[in-house]
Amino acid sequence: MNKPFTQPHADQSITLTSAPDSHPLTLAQKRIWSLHQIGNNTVFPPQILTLRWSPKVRLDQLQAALATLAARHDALRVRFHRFAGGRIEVSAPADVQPPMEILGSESNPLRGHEVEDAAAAFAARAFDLLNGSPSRFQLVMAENGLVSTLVLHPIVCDCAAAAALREDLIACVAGQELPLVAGDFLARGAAEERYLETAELAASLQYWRQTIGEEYSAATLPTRFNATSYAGAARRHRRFAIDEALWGATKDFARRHALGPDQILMAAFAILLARCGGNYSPLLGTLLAGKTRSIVRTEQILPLRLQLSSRMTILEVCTALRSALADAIRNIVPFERLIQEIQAHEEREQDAFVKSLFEFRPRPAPSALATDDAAPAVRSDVELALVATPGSGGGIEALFDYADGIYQPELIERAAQHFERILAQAIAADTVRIKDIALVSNDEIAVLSAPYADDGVNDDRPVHDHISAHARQDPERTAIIHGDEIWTHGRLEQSANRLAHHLLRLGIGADVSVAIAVKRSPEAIMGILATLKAGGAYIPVEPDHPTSRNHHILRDGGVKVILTNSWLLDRIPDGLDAIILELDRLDLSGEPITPPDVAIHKDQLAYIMYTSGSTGLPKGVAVEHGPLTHHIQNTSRVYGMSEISRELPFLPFSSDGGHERWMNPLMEGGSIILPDQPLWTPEETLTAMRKHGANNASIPTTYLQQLAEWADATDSAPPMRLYSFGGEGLAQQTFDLLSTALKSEWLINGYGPTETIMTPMVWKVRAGEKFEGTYAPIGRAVGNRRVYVLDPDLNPCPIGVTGELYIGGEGVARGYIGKADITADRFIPDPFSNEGGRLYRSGDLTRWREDGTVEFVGRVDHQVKLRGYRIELGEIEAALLQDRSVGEALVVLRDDEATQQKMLVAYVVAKQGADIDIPALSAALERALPAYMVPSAIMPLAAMPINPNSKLDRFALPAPAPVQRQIVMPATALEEEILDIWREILNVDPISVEDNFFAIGGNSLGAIRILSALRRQKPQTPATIADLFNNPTIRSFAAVLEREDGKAGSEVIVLRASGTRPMLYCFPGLLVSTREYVRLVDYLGPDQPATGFICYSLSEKKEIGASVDEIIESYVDYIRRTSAGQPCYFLGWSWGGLLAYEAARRLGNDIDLRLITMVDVCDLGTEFAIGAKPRFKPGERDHLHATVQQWLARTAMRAEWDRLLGVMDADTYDQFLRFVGDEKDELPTDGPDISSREHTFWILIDNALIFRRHELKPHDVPIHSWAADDSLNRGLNLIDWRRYSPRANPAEIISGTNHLHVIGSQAFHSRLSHRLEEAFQNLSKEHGKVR
Amino acid sequence: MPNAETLPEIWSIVRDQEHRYSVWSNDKPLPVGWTFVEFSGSRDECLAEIKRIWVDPRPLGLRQAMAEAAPSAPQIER
Repeated sequence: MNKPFTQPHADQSITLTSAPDSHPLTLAQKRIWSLHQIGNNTVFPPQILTLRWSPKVRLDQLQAALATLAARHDALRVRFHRFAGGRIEVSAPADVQPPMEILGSESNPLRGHEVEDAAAAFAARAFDLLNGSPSRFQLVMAENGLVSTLVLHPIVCDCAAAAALREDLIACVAGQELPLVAGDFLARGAAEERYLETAELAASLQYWRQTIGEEYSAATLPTRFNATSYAGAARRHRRFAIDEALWGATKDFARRHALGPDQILMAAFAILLARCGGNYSPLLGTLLAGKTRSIVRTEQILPLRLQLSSRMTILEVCTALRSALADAIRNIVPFERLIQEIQAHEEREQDAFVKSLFEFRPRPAPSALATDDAAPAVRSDVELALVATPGSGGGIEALFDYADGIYQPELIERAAQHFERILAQAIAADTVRIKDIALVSNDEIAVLSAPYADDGVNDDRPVHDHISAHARQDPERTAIIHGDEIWTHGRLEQSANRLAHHLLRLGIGADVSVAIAVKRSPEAIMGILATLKAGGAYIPVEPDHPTSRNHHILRDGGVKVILTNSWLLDRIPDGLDAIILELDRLDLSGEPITPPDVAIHKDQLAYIMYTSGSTGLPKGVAVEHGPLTHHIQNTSRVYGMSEISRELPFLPFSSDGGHERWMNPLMEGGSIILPDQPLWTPEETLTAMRKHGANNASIPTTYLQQLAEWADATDSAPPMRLYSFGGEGLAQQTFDLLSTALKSEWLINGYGPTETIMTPMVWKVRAGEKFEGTYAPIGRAVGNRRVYVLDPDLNPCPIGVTGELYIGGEGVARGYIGKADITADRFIPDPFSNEGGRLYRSGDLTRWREDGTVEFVGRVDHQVKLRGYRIELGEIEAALLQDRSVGEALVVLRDDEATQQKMLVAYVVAKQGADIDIPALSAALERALPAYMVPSAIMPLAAMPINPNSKLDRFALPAPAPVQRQIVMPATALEEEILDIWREILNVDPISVEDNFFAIGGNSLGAIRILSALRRQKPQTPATIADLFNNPTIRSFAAVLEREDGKAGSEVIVLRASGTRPMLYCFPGLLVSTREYVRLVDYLGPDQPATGFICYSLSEKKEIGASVDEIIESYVDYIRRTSAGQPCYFLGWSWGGLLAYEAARRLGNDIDLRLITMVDVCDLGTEFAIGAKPRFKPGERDHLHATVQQWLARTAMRAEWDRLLGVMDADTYDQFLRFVGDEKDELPTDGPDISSREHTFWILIDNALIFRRHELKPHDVPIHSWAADDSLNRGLNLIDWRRYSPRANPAEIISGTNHLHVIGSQAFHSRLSHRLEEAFQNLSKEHGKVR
Repeated sequence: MPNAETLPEIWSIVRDQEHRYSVWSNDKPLPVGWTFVEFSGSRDECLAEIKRIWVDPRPLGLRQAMAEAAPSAPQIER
């Protein structure tokens, strides 16, 4: 046994003078200890057992029972001991009892809520595990009997154990004999240690690696937008019940099929996850409770991987579950070990593989003696847990326990209801399949799918008749303003009538098409109206579009007449069987000015609009008069259009939205301002609006940002009633900007595929509206339409669940011209309609929002999976487009010869006249997106490659390649000299003297080698590694060397020089340079200055056996020099935390230190603690000594090792031997190179010797600390700073990362940023007060 | 999201009152207003057959109206 030693900590009470028979902890216990250590008692809450006893139970009976239990269970007597270096062991002295307090007396009992208050206060007390018991009892004398409360620390007791203890206690009080229990509490840790070394375990780990794999994606419910930036430790609860009837039916069903009813519940949970998460290969967890009567912590999370399909019945799901469960139990591995195995990738943050946990707890056997009075504790190490327990009422009491901020509470609220619906429907008959279950009720579907409320009655006359009627009523009214030209309604009507008569004579009639090959102009509108009046269908053809495309349209559309201008004739292909009319040369003076008498059938075509699909040639979408006129009339009412409407329609005529936006005002007798150029500058646009008194404007989303920015900068936006926009997803920031800059009363975000006629959906809001999501909502349906968000089985998705958008009702197109099969494929029977009709399948992923409006998520074919994450490429593109200089953005997942592996590559095209700063853009993305969504490369392009069909040519996208560098040759002999060294050490050629060291593959070790090489050539050079980091090009570095003002020789790295916030000093960890802080500093933004110190092991001043005090000397001097009297912050990571703390203590009041932030700061391991005596097997010590001596004879670092071994005393040398014996690898002999294993080993041992002599002393300073999840799972000995400073907080946990990578974790960045902001706000408040 | 509609199962050609064609899985109740046309198979087989048989894209009502208005007018081919 080790001799416990006197730990030089502030807390002297842990000093032990005698050695009890102590035992190691299990992995789960070590993790709970670490959590306790950092002040976290929410992940594993204490077990609380409150019982109200029948009045006949006496106090002495209970006391005796408790004494019996204490003797029976080691867990109630255990004590924890800290050994040298922080290792924790546990013992169970025979003669102790848990502390007990008794409140009240028979004569003076506690009354009413005093009883609950007393129990609650008792339960809330913190445990001091090192100085006391992990369990305590409270007995309260209440008016109607005793109330007992047992509180047990989770390190000794899980839920099943608490239930066993309850049973024991009741049996004891009842005087019953207790069954024998295995007294295995103390032995479990050692048993587990042995098990972890077995081949059996290795085989099990292999099983899990195969089952879970690398590309796993944990099943969960839909999370809220930007969930990671909200995630905190707080939990929310949602309780719900399964009533007696349903639970009874479940039990009957289970019995009939020889299943456990709990399995049916678990299957229903798996179905819920599949249906709501869209993941039919769910990876979920279940909690396996121990079956023993002894009080121990044995529960295990078992991951279950299922392969489901929506055609399975619940019985088939149960079969899949049973087999997964059997495999999991056969391969059971402590969960903490499993996490290390699965989340083993060092180079990236990893997502949890169990996010959803099912737990079934048997109902405690009811007793006549006592009733239970407390809700059981739920472990909260997964994002979402469903805990089901049979309740006293004969049903199930269920609980969703979930991470606050990850899920919308409303979604969980509904999930409870969905769970019940799934259960009820799935067991109603043996043949019910997952896809047959309705999660959304018919009433809910009716509400969600409903269009904008509209009481108006539509008139069946076609659009052109409405326009005509206004012209007859008021012919002098302005219809179109086009440059200097003004067309009245009368002029438009008469011209159109004349042309219509002409067209009629050319044979135009129902379902005959006329091409409008004229640029956007009053003539074009006149030509369209004439076509409609003649009964024909118009096809807009943009003269500017590629000839091949236009040729296809004119042929495919069966065009009989082409309206064009004489100067555009060369754009019209030869060989068409169509009549060409040149509008500028056509003499129509002989035609009547009255409308032709042509009856229009509601089903005859009004227009054919060509739309580019994702593949192949453009398809003609044919739209009929009936739905068109109704659509425009409905839109009029939603938009609030009238005869005073004057709209500036900026949308092109090649989109159907462009036509809606001129038809609408004209149909109401209003007017339009038609731009006379394809594109106006923002200034021209705003001027035109003001000059002509526009009150509405319809603008393509792509143009909005520019317009709003201009309006914002110049404050030149005229007041408007309404802006409408559409065509693309509208990013949040753009929406916020236009909301403030454009001075409009209303904003309408329109959405709609051509196939569902113009703008079938709108989101109409007042300026200033806020929303949560990547894109602005697309609202709800307009007119005689309904919209549905459906899963692949055509089941409506609940609110918040992503599905494909379907649009149905009257407002859909007839179909695709000449493509019966594609029409039948995309327009499907409407299963929700009572009167027939079709639904159009949009190919867009959407979800219903809480308010019933629809949110755009992305394209069905635009979602990719990378390293287990589902990634919506559009979201990354939206983030790229936030950059002012980016005009177009495209993100693809490449996996080809060029990339060698799956990686995201972004392509960007600059806005006209702008330059894209790629590094800045990359940094901005890192701030805006989770790490797994940040593209590996951003490639600037002059233009997106386009194929002949004007579609993006994905095959022509260049492979990501290193940016072409300009090679600047050295100008001086010194530069030449340094260049040679760089070439040799970095193995890169050519190198420009202006290349950034880090950009061409340099790292800390490379820097050290460069310095050593430089020193060989120039022994007098004062340059340090910090000089290289601060001047990372050959040119700037050479300049520093040549300077004579002694600036070289720095130990300080300027991470960011400018910024108004207090300086952040970053202290380095062992063996790492401050370069690791660069991403963090990028994240904190341009206003946060930061300084780093060179890692001591990389420092030139390195000396053997230096003390912490000596190491911080130069840091302290520097900080005092630069921040005397100034506010500042410290950041310490790993061992840098210690340096930060000591520097703070040394500097005291010399500086105004506002906050120390500590990241994963650990105490030294057990190996080299003073007083720790290592254990050796017989003969082992001598053998190890011989091994070390042989090794020393061979190593090239003999001199260094001798110096190090020379300062060790006999005990320390034994510790060193133990360390060597525990290493799996051979002793390294590849030194002394700085990157060698041997050098690293040497640094580690040297550091251990520094650390072991160091004592932390109390110091009152604000400290905020964080711990990496993985460090907790490994039971690392994290420092609890509350032991040293009264102003330290319990550490927050950063999930999915480890000790080495936490510093680059975005979750950490966002939380650190939040804390610094908080500290800054406090500072500003104080200063405010002073003023 | 994989589209379960394309999974191997039996589909049928269906037609509404206006003689618009589409496909429907035999797995689900037929929506109101639609009738089965005697053809079943994979979804793609059904679509290919529709391409063959649905030669007049005009709704039935329009076909009739146009025939009445000008019985001698040539049918529009598409």
